[in-house]
Amino acid sequence: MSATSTPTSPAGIDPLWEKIKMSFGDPDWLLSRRKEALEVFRATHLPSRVSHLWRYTDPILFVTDEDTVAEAGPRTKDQGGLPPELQKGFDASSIAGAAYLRNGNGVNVILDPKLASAGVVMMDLREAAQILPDLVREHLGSLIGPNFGKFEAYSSAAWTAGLLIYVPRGVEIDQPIHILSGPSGTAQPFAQRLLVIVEDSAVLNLIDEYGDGEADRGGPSHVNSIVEMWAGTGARVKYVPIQNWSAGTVSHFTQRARLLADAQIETAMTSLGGRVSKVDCGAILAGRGAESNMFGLAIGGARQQFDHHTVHDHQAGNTRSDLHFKVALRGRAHSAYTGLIRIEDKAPFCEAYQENRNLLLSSGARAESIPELEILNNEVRCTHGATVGKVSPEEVFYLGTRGIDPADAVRLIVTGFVGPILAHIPDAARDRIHREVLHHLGEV
Amino acid sequence: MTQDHAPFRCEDIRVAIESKEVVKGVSLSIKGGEIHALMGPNGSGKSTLVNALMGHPSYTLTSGRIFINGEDVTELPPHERSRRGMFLRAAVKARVKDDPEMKTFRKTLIAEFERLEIDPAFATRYVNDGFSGGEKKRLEILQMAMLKPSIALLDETDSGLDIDALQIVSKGINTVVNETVGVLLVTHYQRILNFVKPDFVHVFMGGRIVRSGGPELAAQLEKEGYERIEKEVSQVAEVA
Repeated sequence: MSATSTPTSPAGIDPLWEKIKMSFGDPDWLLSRRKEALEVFRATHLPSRVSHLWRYTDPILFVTDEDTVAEAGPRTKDQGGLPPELQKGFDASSIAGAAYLRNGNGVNVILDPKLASAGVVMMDLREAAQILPDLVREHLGSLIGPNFGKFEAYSSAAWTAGLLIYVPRGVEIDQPIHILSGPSGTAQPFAQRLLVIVEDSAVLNLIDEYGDGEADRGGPSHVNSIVEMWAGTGARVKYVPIQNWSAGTVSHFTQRARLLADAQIETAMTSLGGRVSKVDCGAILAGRGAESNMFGLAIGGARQQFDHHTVHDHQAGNTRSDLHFKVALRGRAHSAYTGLIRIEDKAPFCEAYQENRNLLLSSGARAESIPELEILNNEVRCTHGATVGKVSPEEVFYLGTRGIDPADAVRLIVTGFVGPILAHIPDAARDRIHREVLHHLGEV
Repeated sequence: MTQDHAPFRCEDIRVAIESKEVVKGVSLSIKGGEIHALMGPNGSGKSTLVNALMGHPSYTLTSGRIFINGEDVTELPPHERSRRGMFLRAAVKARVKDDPEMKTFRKTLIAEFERLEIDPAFATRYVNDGFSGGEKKRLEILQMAMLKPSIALLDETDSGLDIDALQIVSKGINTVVNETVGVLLVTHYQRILNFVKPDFVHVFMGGRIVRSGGPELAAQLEKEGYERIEKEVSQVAEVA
């Protein structure tokens, strides 16, 4: 995407729009939304470094040369099966479905036939825009649209790979659905989008994995992802985003979940890879009794840069949120965490808790923690806490008295630090993520 | 058994903190099956001595040698001393992949939980997950039982324990001690000695062992406090 406004081209034609119009083959309603989004993107200045959420990461990092935007190409239903790592995981007894979103185009989907016959839909979002226009029109862009921010506007205009997951009322999917995005070997930047609709009393367990962490396989230079989730009354959603891009990738990730009365979401996010990773993850508690529990882990080394923002927006009374975000860094890695708790004036009897803990494993690592509380109602319970610390020599000595050498002692302390967060990752991914975490911290 | 093969021996241990000598020449030999109590008032340097014996990085020896089962460990880091049997013997390298070993370990662990009457729920908690002071001390006894050391240095094991916890910890010590294990029990008051019977009592003041004797010395301390011994020691010093 261009840093400037509309690029100069003959007769005022926007080349990105030409590309989208020519190659995407979307229905008219979607094309006109894309055009609107592109206009917003062009009209919006780059965020200022002093504006909220841009103090810690330079927005110029997310700007790409638009000529390299991935070609969308025609939609295809079958791209020749799932990648082996997903195939292995696709055992009906351990996962309920899998999808593979490739850089640029092509979405592969496998879903337990029992679920399909129960009305569960999992399909290419662009295909869904044609087949289920009413459902997609109503929800797409309603939580994160072009006016959310400049890069969300870009993504809304230019997203290529997309996935719709729809779980009808009362259908409970206990095993996880596993989505893998991106590791296609092409370096082109791309934008993608998930739309997840979980109706009243339905249950969904979703692993949403980005990249495969293989630095030598290369990866996209830039990724812009948007995830919108709707949870109906009494719905229960478990959401497990795993960011494991290869070492050179710059990623921009925005997610919102909107919960109606008594709905619950548990989010367990892990950020491992990438050069720069900016994450904005939030839950809107829109109905009485809604509850969000968010657990996060960021593990970095070298010169990795993390910028995580979480939002718990209590719009209704008697809602509850809990957040535990942990960061462990080595090398010259840097993390900024900003956590917003917002309780509206018409939302009494809410409870909100937020904790951010940072473990620095080298003298060059840096972490910042900024809680943000906007409490407009007095009848609430709201607490927050933040710590930044190093592995204490006393702890290493203590473990030494048990025969544990210093390197193993640090590993054990880190495992103890991340363990309570890992515990919230489903079995299907937990051991693998634990190994990745230790691997990332292997040089401490 | 020759002195060389005592589980634990140290000679003329001196420790300085910021150029101030805190431990001023301690020599001690502990044979298998012996419980030695090291008693002294607060600030006498007991903890400094014990931490230095274990190799704490903040305390450097200015002189002295430390032997475990006859081997000089003075230059070894804490985990190497541990693996040679100090405090807690044997390597407990995390064996993540070694399933059979892990199963045996769990079985032994659960058996020790029962033997020591400690709540097995401890085993499901994370390494650094908010244990209370009393819980930590009980866990240390459990770890000692698991690691089967040659020499256990138990520093202030009794402080902060209620009477039930004290009995559990004492029972643990008595259970673990056998003819091959030596114990150095460091305490500033006598209460735990009602449950763990020492063979030798050393009074530690001003960085030195000023008096050694049998269990009767502990009883005398309980009755008269440290003051009287302190007076006697200073008189001796004046005469000298």
